[in-house]
Amino acid sequence: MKNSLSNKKTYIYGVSSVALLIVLWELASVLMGSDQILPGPWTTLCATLRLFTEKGFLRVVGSTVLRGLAGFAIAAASGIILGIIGGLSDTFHAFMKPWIIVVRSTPVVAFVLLALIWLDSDTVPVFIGILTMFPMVYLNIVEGIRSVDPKIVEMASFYNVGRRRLVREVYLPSIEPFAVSGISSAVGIGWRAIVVGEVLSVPQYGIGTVMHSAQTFLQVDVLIAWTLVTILFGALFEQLVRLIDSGLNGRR
Amino acid sequence: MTIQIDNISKSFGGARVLDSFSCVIPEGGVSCIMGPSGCGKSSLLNIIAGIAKPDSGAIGGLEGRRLAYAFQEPRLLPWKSVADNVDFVLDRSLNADERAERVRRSLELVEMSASADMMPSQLSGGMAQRVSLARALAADADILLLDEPFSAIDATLKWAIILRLKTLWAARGTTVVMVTHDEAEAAALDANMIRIESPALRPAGR
Repeated sequence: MKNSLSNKKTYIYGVSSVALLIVLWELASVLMGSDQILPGPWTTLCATLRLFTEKGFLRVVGSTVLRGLAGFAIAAASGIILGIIGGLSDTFHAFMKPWIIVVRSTPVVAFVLLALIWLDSDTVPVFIGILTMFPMVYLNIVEGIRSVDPKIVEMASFYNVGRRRLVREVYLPSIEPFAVSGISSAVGIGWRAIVVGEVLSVPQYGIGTVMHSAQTFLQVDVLIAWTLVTILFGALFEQLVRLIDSGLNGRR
Repeated sequence: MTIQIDNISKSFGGARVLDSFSCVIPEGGVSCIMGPSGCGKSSLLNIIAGIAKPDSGAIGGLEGRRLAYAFQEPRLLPWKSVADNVDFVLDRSLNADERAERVRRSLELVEMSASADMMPSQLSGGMAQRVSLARALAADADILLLDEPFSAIDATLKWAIILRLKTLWAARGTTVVMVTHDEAEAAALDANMIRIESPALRPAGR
């Protein structure tokens, strides 16, 4: 049966699963016998906490966050605008669809390698972010517009409800759940893609850059520590999207 | 002014639902459109409402008249409360107090005042239908189009609402055009009967 576990049990299973993972990690680390190849959980935790106190930390994270924001702003704005057009016009969507399919089925690495030839190292991750986020935003907005009940639109226009109220009170509330789920998953996936882009393009500052150099110098604890930081910020951004959404809902 | 329906035909995907149909709907009072399922009753209401265009024929007597329509399905906005759904169709030239007063009065007519703050997902089929009816009543129209407005409302409540509306409509001189399957409803409203015959019974080749 679905959802038959009580909250308490789910919690206990979750905690024991994580505990097992840590034990296995520790075991593997002991078996490898070298912190150079696989540091244990404790060493890694210390390395992670050390990162936060390092002088360059904010600059590294800030550079990646700025790239993320730039990519996100462009992907969201174009995805929303083109998505609205695509949702209202089947012709436009039919035209857009092959592009979206090509972009979605091409491996991120292929785009990075091409972008490295065309763009400078600071712009490559932004470009990769746009390419991964745009299709998700676009497709969700199209689906949202298509979910608007034509019978409600017919009722509204029968009662001479004006165009502005129609958009604000009928279209936007219908699209909203699709937009929120599209944007929050785009943020999660886009963030990871930007870090991949940085690892390969190695801009002066960036999470990907420090991961790349940690790998080069075999600082496995630092590499895993930055991975944890990436996961943490990705989760933070997804939460932020949901928070903003519930904030907007509260105001209406 | 009477509404003249003159030789109206309407087909959907090759099936003719209205075939040179004519009738006159008198000013004031209730007219009931009756007939078997699929004979074009709802199509006739949609044509009067201006939502559907007839393939041929004409309608007269609607110029400058305000219309309201309770559709066959409630068509409520899921993200708005009962009261806000009724308010949604009201003319924005009225101020907020006037609109709130109209919403209050029309919810009272269908006995939904206590549920004004509920969301559509919390309503039963009959309650949703009453909200849809209240929305049409609140619009304060000269001509009221109702498509089986009482079909999901249970009997006791239905008769109470019908009697209340009958008095109100008589006092205001509202013209009501209502689709129903129920002869008793038509009789209770002293309705003028408009019958549409089944497409199968119509002589072929007309």
